[in-house]
Amino acid sequence: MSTTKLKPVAGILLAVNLLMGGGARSTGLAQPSPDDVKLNADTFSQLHKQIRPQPGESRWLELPWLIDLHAARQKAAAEGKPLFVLSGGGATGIGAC
Amino acid sequence: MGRAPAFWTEENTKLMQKNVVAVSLSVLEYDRTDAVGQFLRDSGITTRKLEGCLWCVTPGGKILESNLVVEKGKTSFKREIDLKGALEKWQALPETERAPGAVKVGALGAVDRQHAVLTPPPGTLILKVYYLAFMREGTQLRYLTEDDLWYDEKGDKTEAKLVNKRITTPQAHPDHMWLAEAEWKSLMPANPRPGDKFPVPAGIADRLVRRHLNPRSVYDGHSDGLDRDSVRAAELSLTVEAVAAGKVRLRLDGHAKLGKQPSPTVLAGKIASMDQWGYEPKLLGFLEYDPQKRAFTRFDMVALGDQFGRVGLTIGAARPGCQPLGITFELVKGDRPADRVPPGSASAARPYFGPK
Repeated sequence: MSTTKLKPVAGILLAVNLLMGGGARSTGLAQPSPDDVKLNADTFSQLHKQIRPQPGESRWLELPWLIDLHAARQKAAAEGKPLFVLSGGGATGIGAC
Repeated sequence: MGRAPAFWTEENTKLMQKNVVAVSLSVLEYDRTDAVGQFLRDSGITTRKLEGCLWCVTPGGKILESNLVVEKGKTSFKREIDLKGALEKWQALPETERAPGAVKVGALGAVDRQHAVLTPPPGTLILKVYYLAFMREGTQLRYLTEDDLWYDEKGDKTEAKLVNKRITTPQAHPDHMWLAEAEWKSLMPANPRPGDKFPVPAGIADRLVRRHLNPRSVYDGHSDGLDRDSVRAAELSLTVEAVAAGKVRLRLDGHAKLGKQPSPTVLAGKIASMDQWGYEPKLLGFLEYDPQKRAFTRFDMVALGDQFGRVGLTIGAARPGCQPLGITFELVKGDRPADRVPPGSASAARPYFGPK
């Protein structure tokens, strides 16, 4: 996992640094005021993009999931493919956990 | 296991895109009394009601592989499902079980609505929601790593030290927000004029804050929404920014203070709070409405603020101190099945609309 995260990390460090006003990196676990995070019209699009899944981050999202098992069986039978079933708890497996 | 990056390699993903029909369900469906429930029981998939189970099964109901192991009455998970092995078993089956069209799947018949997955009512506006936890480094933000997730207050136990790592927390976690037709229509004033400002209708604001700004909703399975006592403050407003023949642009502003206030030691970043939580996001959104089509064409929002408490997906790790949590919202058409997944763990027994 950490390997797949390395590339996006570099990008987001740079980008969000701009949103937070830059400045020297501190060590340890400094806790700047929440006001340092500037969510405004200028930073909105960038933040919206950065919070969403990054390319390659969650490949399970790249499948054309069905959520109707019966329809999936019909499709699998027609196409000559097996089913891949993911079960979730109270939510469907590809929903909120 | 279900979303573990170790399994979802580029190779496995491509194999699946080409060779399987992927379907996601809830264990609540195991109790369906209709043809779906019968298939699940006949195939043996209902052996255990556990989330994160993966099964490779034929359309006729023969299990090829699973990540679930049941031995002498005890259940455990394999680290991965043997996908290639499953496909080899599939290829070894007689044509009568795997050739296109060889297996006949009849009509579904009457649907057990009590246990079937909820579907959005006609006219529902569907928003895709993503949650992502960051780490603060000085004045910068970065993604989580294994070392950032603590399983005790002082960080002696971290994800990096676990034998069976389940580091899915750094992924953006998806959810959906539904707005009933009457609700989204109520967001649009009858005669919008630039500069007009009004509060977001109470029912929408309440659900947005208590259900969709709930940091626990995707990270530890607490997805029914917060109690009213957990909302210390919340305010959401809409402002008409521009009015043109083909587009009305609205801006959403807001903030919320949820859960507890952090203790001084949490605020100083010295410990990870394992038994308390809090989240104080600001919100900003841009909505666009087409008066001719009488439909929203854009519904983008961001919530961003500091959070403390557990965020470890299903197993409850926390980040030290107060750290940023971002949430995005965006309009989807709802024409892909995956976009029609119900919000949170909503079901017939746990309705989404209406007061909680």
